[in-house]
Amino acid sequence: MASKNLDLRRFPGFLPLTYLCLFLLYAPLIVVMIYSFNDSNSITRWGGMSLRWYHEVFYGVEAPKFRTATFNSVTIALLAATSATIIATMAATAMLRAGKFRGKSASFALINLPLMVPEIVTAVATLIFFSAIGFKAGYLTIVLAHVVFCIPFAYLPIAARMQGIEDTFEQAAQDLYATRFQTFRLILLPLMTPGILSGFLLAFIISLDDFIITNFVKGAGVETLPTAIYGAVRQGIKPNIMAISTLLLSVSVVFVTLSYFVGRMGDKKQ
Amino acid sequence: MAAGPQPTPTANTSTYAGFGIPLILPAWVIIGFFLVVPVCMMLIYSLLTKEFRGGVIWEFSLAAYDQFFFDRGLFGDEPPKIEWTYITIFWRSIWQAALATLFCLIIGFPTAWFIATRTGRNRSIWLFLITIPYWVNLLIRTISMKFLIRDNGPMNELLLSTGLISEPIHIINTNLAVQLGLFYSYLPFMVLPIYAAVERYNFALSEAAADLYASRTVTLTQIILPAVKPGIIAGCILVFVPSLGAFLAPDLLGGAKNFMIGSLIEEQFKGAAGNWPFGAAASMILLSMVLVVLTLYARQQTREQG
Amino acid sequence: MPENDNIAVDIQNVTKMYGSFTALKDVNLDIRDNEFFTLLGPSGCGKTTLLRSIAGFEDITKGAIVLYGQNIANLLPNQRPVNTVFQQYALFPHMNVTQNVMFGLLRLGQDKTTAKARVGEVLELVQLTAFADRMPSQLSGGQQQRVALARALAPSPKVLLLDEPLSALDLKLRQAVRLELQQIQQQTGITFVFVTHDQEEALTMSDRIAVIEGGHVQQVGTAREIYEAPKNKFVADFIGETNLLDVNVTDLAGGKGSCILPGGAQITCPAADGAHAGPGHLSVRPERIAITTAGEGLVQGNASRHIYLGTDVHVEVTLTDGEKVTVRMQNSTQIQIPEVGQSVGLDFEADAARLLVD
Repeated sequence: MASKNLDLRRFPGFLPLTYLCLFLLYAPLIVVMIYSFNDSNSITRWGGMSLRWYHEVFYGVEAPKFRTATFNSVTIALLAATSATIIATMAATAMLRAGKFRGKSASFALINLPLMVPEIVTAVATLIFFSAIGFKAGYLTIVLAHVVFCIPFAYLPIAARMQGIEDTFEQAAQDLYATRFQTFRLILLPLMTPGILSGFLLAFIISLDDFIITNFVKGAGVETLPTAIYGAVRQGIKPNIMAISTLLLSVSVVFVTLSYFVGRMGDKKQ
Repeated sequence: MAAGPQPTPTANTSTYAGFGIPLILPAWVIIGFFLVVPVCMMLIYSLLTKEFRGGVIWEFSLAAYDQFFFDRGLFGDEPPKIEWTYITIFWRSIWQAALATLFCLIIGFPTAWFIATRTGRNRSIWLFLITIPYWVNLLIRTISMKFLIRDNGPMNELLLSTGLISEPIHIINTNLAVQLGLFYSYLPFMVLPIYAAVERYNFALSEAAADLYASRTVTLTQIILPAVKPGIIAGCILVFVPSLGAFLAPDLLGGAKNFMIGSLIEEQFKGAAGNWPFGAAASMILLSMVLVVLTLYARQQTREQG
Repeated sequence: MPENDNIAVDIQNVTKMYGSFTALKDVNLDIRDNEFFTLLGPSGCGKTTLLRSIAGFEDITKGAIVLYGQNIANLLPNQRPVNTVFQQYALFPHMNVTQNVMFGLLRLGQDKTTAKARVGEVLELVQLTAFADRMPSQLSGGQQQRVALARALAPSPKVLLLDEPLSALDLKLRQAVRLELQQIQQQTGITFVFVTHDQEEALTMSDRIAVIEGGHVQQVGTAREIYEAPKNKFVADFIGETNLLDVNVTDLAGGKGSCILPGGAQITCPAADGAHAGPGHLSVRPERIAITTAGEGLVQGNASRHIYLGTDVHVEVTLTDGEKVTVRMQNSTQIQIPEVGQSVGLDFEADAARLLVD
């Protein structure tokens, strides 16, 4: 019986294609990681293992530039992700737990709008907007632009989590004399914590990684890590770029793993 | 906990009824003010006159759209011929995006199927493996792809050293490079919706088909594919739309000969050579194309559910 | 048992509509103080809607719900002094047993010490004192149900609403819990409103039962009244088993009426309120019919089937006019069960039968 089921699920060739897929996805990254340890000035010849490029990243000529860029990226991401998470939590409560209200279907379209507009269009539109109202391009414009596209990304795990929570808990709370604010604070919010954390982490990474929109709205004075890297790459791929890439790569992986386990944490509780 | 024999009546999800509007307001303010209004501004800008060092003169003009579609000669006074340059760029972008979507589908469908048919913890691990690369910065991923496939990059080095080829394979700055870049950028967007659809697929249908003498191929084409079609379509849309407006893949991997919409638009806002109204116009045209695709998709969805 | 005629919950002309669908049609019920009152009916009949209307989770379209003299129909759930035991328990998963049970008390403004003392009391009542610090996920189904009960009892509500609380338990446990629930109701003196589709549960636990179908109250009464004097075909059929013969009702007078049985015999037997002359049904329970020799008794027929039930055997008899009647015979050595195909006569007391309309 079990083998029959296995048969129906198996298709010849699917497994090799999956492995090919994984290979295609990881090969470039692994290669970059390996070459970031390349002890050679040329990026094409392998010269042995070395940490010199990592050293160069932290202490070399361009280090201050990258350090500032990293600082900007992280702080912008923190601000944008926090704002987006708060807004998304409120929005999810409205969409999933507040019955009917005027503009509800329009709201759904609105929340998803940043995902549907191509990034380059958003970038151009935002640049034009700030230019038209005379708002100087810089740190603040980046944060504002980031909050916009972080909202749907924070919204997704939050809404998914909220939908999975039966509203009998909130009914029971009200049955036991809790006001709606108490119900939200004592029952819904704690149960949603994994989703909210997941949403925050997602928004954080999205903001950290953004290039196109940031590049358009940043003006001349500010660099974030992606824009700094891009600027450097324009002049040719140098080994220190690969070191930075590897570092950034590792940070992303750590964050994703964290987000995954945070999400799983919530499942165990239920 | 066994479920009771009678299901509870559909509980109302209106615990916080009455608070809907104040709760949704911040989202409206932020997205409305910093996305909807800017897009409207962009529309307006596309109808203004260009300022020579970037920016605009507040004077109505259809010059931007005119420049896009028509060629009025060197001094702008010849009778209009169709200007193919920009239309070609747009057409090439559509073509590239479609090919990338196809590529993602061919590799993505079996992958999604494979993962969805794993059991228990294995499935989570596979999903995890597929999604990790996505979380790496797109810029980094594109750079690493560029590094890999360069003429004197590791891939060619490896192939040369094993003697499989005698000359480096020239991929960089070709269509194929852009394809690879787009595939690399958006593959998980194809895998995840298909995975979700396959996960919901009722395998009893396959069993019924087998019971009725269907071969594996027939089951796949006539039973499974129709059942997971919504996931496939969602995946295609999620790859096609971003690919259309992609910037990094064509810029870093395609070079000058593979100019796509993203590069064209970006160029309009860089420094002195820029033409803001033209860039805005090109963006509007791109946006319209995307909206058409999305509307068709939405309409098909409602038709299927209706 | 209710000791006084104080009305705990007076449901007055309650109608509930969802768009064009009417879930409750002009429902009128009196639930007495200290009563174990059951709402009984098949799924979709409206009993849960009625319960949720009392709790405040459904808004009624028309009518009033008067709780000890006060109309609560317009109050929010957290303003009504009633508490609910939910069908799937709805224990807060991120709080332990004590915190769950304490929840309502804290919302009412009690301080932690008083609340904790009360929690101890209630946990003792449901015999879960040892589990006070456990999380709901660490409890069995039966234990979770008791926590839900304790949580709803802790704030000393005026009325306790129970939404099919036993449906998720297995049979043996259900029977044990039924007894416990009855005891707790008697001990605390709180009015219980209990919803179930299981008639055995309703019959064994309740002081009074309201049989509900299609949004209407079909009949209200004690278990005995409902079983032995059903008002209409639905109640007769839904509660226990009965045989329904199509007959023509005549000579209605003084609560009795006459009809002619298949085969020609005429009997006069009790008639339900609202019975009228003309086509109707005669209802006789399988255990009130005796099998005699062919030729004797009120109707004749052939034994057509046996259904073996361990303690009983149900004999299906096909009458002369084709109708089928089920007779309950005790499965003992002294009683002879007719063979299949054997001609038999069926006899019953006129007072054991009942004339009904639909």
